[in-house]
Amino acid sequence: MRPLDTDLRPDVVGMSRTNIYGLMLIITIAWLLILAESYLFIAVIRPLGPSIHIGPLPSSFAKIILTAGLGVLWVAVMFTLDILYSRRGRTPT
Amino acid sequence: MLPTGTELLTFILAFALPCIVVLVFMPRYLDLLRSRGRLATDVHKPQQTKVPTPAGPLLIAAIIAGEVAIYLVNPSTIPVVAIEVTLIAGAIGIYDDLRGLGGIVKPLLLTLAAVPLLIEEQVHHSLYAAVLNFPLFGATGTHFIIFAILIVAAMPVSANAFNMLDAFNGEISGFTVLVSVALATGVVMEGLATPNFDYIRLAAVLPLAATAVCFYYYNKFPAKAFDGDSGSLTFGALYATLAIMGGVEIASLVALIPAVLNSYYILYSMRGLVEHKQMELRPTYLGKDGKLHATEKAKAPTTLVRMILLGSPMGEKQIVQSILTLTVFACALSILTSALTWLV
Repeated sequence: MRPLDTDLRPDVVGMSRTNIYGLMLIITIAWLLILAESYLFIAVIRPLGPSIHIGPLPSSFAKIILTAGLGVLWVAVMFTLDILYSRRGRTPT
Repeated sequence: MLPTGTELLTFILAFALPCIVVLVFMPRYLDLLRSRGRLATDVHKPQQTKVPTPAGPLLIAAIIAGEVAIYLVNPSTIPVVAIEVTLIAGAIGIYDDLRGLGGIVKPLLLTLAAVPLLIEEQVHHSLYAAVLNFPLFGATGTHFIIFAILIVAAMPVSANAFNMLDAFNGEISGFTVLVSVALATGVVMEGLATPNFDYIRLAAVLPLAATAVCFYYYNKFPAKAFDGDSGSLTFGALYATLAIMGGVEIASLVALIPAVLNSYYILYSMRGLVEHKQMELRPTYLGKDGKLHATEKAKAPTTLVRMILLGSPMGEKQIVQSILTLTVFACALSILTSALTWLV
């Protein structure tokens, strides 16, 4: 990555780069979670009992709860990453 | 597999017409906005700068010109739905620009943009497949009702994600160009893997990309025009529509990760849907050094820009470069996702 601006001091440029790399890491983790959760959805949740349209309530209910759980997991991980990132990036006072 | 003459003509018109509309008419349109006093303060500049807004109506016209051209060469439902969604989201955006809409009313109204997709699919049964194609692990079964719910949810989510990212010079136009390219690449990969693939699904993406590319010229730092909510909401709703009609929903979502994270962090830190004007604390402030600083107070809303700025103030141009760098990275992951979905 080229220096962001000629008037930024090297230490500030370095810090900006670290911030960008940190956010790239968050994006990568978000992407990997989508892939991993896709696998869980296709391989684990989807085969649970008959189709949601024709199956009895308990099977469909489990599918809905588990799918929602995947969404909650993604949100929780992103929330944790936000806290860790902000704690690292905030200037000590 | 080379395109036929008709396909090539469609691609050229779909890209060229929006470019002509934006490049030829934008200067006059901006003069018109100036003469009517429709100017907004560019709050991220040290000196008071007024910029004409909203350019959204002309961007809507440019997109429609491209989609109409596609329809005239090859009558199909796909460009018709793209036009309908553009008009609905555009109308909501124009009203928001002129009168203002609340943080909850706007997303509710944007669900209306899903109506053309749902109705046209009921009539023609060829607009989209009610399945989600996941990378590596295959597709889900066909679920019309669940897919319809996802479509209705996708419109406000995508449109608001674009809208919330529309804060700095060149940010929304550059972002839209990049994600449109990733979307088009995904559709090309699907076309390579699918027999009898309808090339109109790819052509329909081009007016969005062309409009955003040409608008970037006016919107980049220092901006000569702001798109307004009419522009960003239209871009977002149309992007979701094209992703659904193109069958590349998951890959398109991956390209949107920077915008989705930005929206998610704002929603979480503000504890709900809040308009920019209603925020008590700003996520960033303009320092005496002319650079933007992250607001250190814990109660300030968390945005992607604030996260970039933590510990290192930057100029507006550098912030947009950083966001577009993140978007390029997300788009690369999106293209990889498309490859894993269609080519592996």
